[in-house]
Amino acid sequence: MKIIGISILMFVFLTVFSLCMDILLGFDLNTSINNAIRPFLVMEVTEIVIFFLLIVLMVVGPVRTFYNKRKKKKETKKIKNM
Amino acid sequence: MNHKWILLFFIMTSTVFISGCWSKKELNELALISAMAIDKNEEGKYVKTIQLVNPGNVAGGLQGGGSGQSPTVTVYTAMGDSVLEAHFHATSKISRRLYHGHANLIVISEELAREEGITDILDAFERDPEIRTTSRVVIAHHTKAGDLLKSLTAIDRIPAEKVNGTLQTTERARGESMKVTLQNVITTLTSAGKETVISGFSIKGDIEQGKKMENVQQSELDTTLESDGLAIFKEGKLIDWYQGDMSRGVVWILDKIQQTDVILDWEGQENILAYNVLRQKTKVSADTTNDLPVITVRVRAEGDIREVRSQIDLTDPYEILDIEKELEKEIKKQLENTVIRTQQNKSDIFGFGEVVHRSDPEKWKKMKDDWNDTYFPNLKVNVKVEAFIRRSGLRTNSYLSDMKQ
Amino acid sequence: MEKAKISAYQLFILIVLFELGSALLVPIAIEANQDAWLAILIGMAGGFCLYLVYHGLYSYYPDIPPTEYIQKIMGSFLGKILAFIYVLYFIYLSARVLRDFGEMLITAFYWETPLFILNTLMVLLVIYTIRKGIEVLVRTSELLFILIILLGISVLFLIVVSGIIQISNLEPVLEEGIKPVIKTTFTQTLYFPFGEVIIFAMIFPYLNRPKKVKRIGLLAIGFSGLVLASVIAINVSVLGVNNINRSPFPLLSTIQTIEVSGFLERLDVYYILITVIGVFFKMCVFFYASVVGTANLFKVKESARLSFPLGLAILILSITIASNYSEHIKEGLHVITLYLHLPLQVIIPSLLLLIAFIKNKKKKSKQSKNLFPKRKYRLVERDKK
Repeated sequence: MKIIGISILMFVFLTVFSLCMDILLGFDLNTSINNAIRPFLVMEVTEIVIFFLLIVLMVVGPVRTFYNKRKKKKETKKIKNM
Repeated sequence: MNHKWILLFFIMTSTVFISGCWSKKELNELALISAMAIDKNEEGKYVKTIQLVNPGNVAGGLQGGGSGQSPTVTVYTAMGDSVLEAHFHATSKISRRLYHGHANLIVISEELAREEGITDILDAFERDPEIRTTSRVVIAHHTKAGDLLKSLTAIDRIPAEKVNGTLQTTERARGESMKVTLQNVITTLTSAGKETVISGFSIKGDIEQGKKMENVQQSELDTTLESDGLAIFKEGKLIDWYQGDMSRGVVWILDKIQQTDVILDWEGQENILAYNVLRQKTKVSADTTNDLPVITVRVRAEGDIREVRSQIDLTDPYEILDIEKELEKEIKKQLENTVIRTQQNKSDIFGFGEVVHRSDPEKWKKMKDDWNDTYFPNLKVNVKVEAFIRRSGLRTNSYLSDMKQ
Repeated sequence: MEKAKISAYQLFILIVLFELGSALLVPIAIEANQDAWLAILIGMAGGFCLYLVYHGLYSYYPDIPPTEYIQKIMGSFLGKILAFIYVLYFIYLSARVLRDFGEMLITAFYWETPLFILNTLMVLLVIYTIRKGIEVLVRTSELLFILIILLGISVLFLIVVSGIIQISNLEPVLEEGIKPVIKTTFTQTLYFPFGEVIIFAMIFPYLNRPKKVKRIGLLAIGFSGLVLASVIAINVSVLGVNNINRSPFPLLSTIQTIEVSGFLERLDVYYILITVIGVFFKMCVFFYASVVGTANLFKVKESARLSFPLGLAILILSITIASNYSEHIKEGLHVITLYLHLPLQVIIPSLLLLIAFIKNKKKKSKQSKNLFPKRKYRLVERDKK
């Protein structure tokens, strides 16, 4: 969970960062936001599938470790209680 | 013990039936059809032309040295009152059993399509289990359909392959023609909200020359087959031919463009920039809040600049933005021209009707019956284009920018 | 942080591959026209100074990465913000390198393949490498360095043999005086590629023999500077200034002109190998630094787990960075240098060094005063125990 949180935070800041660069290049805010989104507008099916696969993979990893940890905690509690 | 013997007996006898040689056809008894064509003669009879492959001559090109060879295909024609009858009449001329499994091309003559429509003749093709529904359908432009099959071709030695290959290549590289299968034709014929479009093919040169082997034994062929425009249909009848940018507009709105090029004027000079579309997406949506639906065609294209013939500074991002705007205008203009001409033709080949059907089924029921004649020509169609330039090949600016300094 | 050790030789290789990585790819120092090589050499001299600054900081804090010692120098709050900016900077640069790579492959070889696919392949490879740890990366670099050297030598040989070098293209030297050269140096070559060596501050704590770091680093920067300068000089002498100005990938154009005895032509594959290997290491180093930096900043114990999400962020960023190649290059050579490289590579490290110097001096003077009594006291205490 923490991992996902950190990555999203980083991603948001990075986007702002790259937008700032665009603005420093002399574009106004609108064009630079447009410039950031535009590359994703024309995507082939394969690209979209791979893109979502990557995002799913990103989420699955941390969630699995999160649940594993929980299980372990419960088990240890059980053992303690016994 | 006894049971075992009976079981064995059944197993042995079953092998006789399992092998499935009910009506066996050996390969050397088959005549492989590569293409079929349908014409209509003056007497009102259907003329079916069949192109048969001569298997021995297709592969033997390298060893034979080219002298004294017979052509790769043989063509037979037969007449009949219906398509199937013509087919049966053809058997009286051919020594082998006609086999359709490899037939990949159906050619229909322009005359037939214009006067009588294609609605009547396709049933025999669709019904036959041997004919594939993915066979391509082509309209013979300016010639008889049968003649299109008679001309010999180079490189792809079977003319049917050449026709299919050409269609595919032009669709990929330029987008002026498109692959239309038998199934596509039938679905569009039956759909109330979409009319039929079929690619055209024509013969350049003398057909009598094209039949001879000498035609392919020279560096420049006297007679060639060329992809030639799009045939526009209305209720099964051919009404118009689109060429060049006009036909590309149709393919574009149907979202079948894979690659194409757009030539652009720049700062008063004509045809200065060539833009190569590498990828595009076109979405058609309908707004049905008013009585008359409003159609929006949204095009997004990305590609490279492939030719520059002036001193444009391509390293400047602002300049590229300007070029993109200009490109959008140009593409928009072309698509709008196509839409206007199609509306004048009163034939909804873009499938706007289907889009309206999907977004508002209730309203569609009311409009369905006279969609083509009253609603479609009066539709307001907004074309929105976004064009993106990504790269400019192995050079940034043209050498012209250095020359004139 | 993982426990890993890097030897001096490995550090040398890593720095060289890193410096050459994308610098061989994009056109650098073209503003200096035929004196581009000179701009590179002056930039290299500046690179030595910058390296000494980074090394100076390292010598004050030999065991902790910059993200931590910034906090010690600047105080917790300001230091954290600065460290965060540095991590963002590393990630951003790594995305830029990735974009360079993708653009190069698409423009020259795979023009119908989407950028996203090529970048994905590269990012997955980098993520895999980083998950395996820095030691794996360094050992790979040892292996591939030999390949790069062999390729480089054979390309040089072929260029010379094919007789396409025209030294006269490099003349007149200093046509417009030294001014444009100096200007190019301070707007470009000093920061890219030489100033980017700041990333190695994140790697210094892993070194086997900290004493050798200074010499090895300077040696590596010197070596890569010389290679780069000679490559650019060859580019100019083969293609001429005009062609270079119009080429997005000058080295590729140079290699494409090779034609030896009728059959050694179209050696583009040499170029692909050299640049892909270079870019791979450059990205790996940037990516490693950003993963470790993020982990350090947010106190994540297993930094390897951060590599996949951060890799994805880099992938997306590499595509959103610019809409087209011109924008990407313009940003990289004109905006980034001025607004990012200059403050983050030169000004802030120098300030940090100054503050660290003052702080340590104070400490030292305090320590030297207290040294003797303190020790005595301790000894006494220990004896008591």
